Amino acid sequence: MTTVSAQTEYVIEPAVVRSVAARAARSTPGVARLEPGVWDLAKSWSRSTWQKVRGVDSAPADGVHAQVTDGAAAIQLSIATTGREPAFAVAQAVQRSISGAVSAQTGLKVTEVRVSIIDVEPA
Amino acid sequence: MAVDAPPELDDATLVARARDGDVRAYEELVRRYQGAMFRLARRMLQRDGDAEDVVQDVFLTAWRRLETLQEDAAFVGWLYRTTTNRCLNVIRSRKPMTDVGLDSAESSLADGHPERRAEVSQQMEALGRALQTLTPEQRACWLLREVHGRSYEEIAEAVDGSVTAVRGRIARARAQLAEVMKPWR
Amino acid sequence: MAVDTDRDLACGRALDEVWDQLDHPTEHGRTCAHCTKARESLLLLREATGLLVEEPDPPALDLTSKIMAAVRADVRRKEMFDLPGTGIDISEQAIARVIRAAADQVPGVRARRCVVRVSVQDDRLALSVDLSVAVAYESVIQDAVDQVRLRAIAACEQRIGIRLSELSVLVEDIYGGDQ
Repeated sequence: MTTVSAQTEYVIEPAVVRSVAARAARSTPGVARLEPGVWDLAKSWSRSTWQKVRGVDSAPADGVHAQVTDGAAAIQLSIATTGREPAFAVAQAVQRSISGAVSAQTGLKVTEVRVSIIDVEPA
Repeated sequence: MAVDAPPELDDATLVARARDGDVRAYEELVRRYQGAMFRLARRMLQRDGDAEDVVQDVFLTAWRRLETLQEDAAFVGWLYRTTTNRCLNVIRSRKPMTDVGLDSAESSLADGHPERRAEVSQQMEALGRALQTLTPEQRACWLLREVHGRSYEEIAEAVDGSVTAVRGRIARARAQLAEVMKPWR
Repeated sequence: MAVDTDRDLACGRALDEVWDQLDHPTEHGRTCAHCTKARESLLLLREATGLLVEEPDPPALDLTSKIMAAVRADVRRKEMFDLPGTGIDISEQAIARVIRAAADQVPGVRARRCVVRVSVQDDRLALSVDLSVAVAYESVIQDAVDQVRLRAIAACEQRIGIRLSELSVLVEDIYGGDQ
């Protein structure tokens, strides 16, 4: 019986980071919802385009983007807050909880969590 | 999603807010008028899919052009005008060969209303069919006036004609429609 | 105001006349066979038109949410304020909405346009806001504006978490006086 000393390499897909980050953000108090980012709005609004827009809107990890390079992750997301707590503080809490969750679950170093506050719900 | 714009707000206030980027205010405007625009478009075009496209296009265009809308109170008129224009354009761009048959048009309009009483449905169908025998401009004028209650001046602007021409088109449309209504008693 | 049509009646009357007198036919209208027949058709037409007027929206159609999905996506690309050194940015619309909602809570005030700027003052983020409002007929404008100011400051503190350092209120309209 030999000791396993070989290094085990593994790769974390950005999708995994996105989903961990999305869950962490959603469970942060004061977050009403994640806001989907539609970056490629077509100029013409044919029905197929609309379907695409709707498709993007209903994606599970709505609006969360992640880049993974050399064991480090950078994350961007957009949120709407409930309006019961200051949005700025909520965004900071989201940054902390995403950083914590992503590094704990994936072992990646989190270099940046960029939060866009898109909406503040009526109190 | 909750709407925080109280429903009793007047159009002008909602338009001013929407122009300012207030999405909820715009949502209230969309909620108020999308139904009317859709009913106009489907009677103009006879195809729900085309009507849906037109209405979506109109409201997105409206959103992007709010900045240029001169008077906040003129919003509804603008909607009717733009919807009418888009419908007329769609009709003009249709190839004659692919124009919709009356049968499929009717089944499309009857969708979702299986419970509708036979007599009512008969009358509506007769009128719906008769509407398609009008020219698109006559149809637009008649619908805007008799179903949507718009002023002659507004209609003239929507179809790019004079008030006299609009009155003439409506009178001719009415005559033609009345002709078709005859057999139903 | 009769319009000439090519479908005038054999008795010489215009169809438009019959239409105009639909509910109150003249002596001729009541007795003339042509007019009576035309009247019956027009009554049927009017009845069927009433059905079109009352026609409900198709139940399955959710145009509003489709339209709003696109509008919201569109808005997101508009003005975002970067909050320096925080990794956070916030939409101007989100701030404007909070301020408008605060102003709306003041009786007799309806918020309209709201323009927001973000600056850094003494290492702290600060908002300056231009707000235009309509006030109810007969409201005391000075009191209303004071109330708007208090509520806007509180709302920025509690719901955004950034200090409101400047608020200028433009009373641009009166509503309700003629109702």
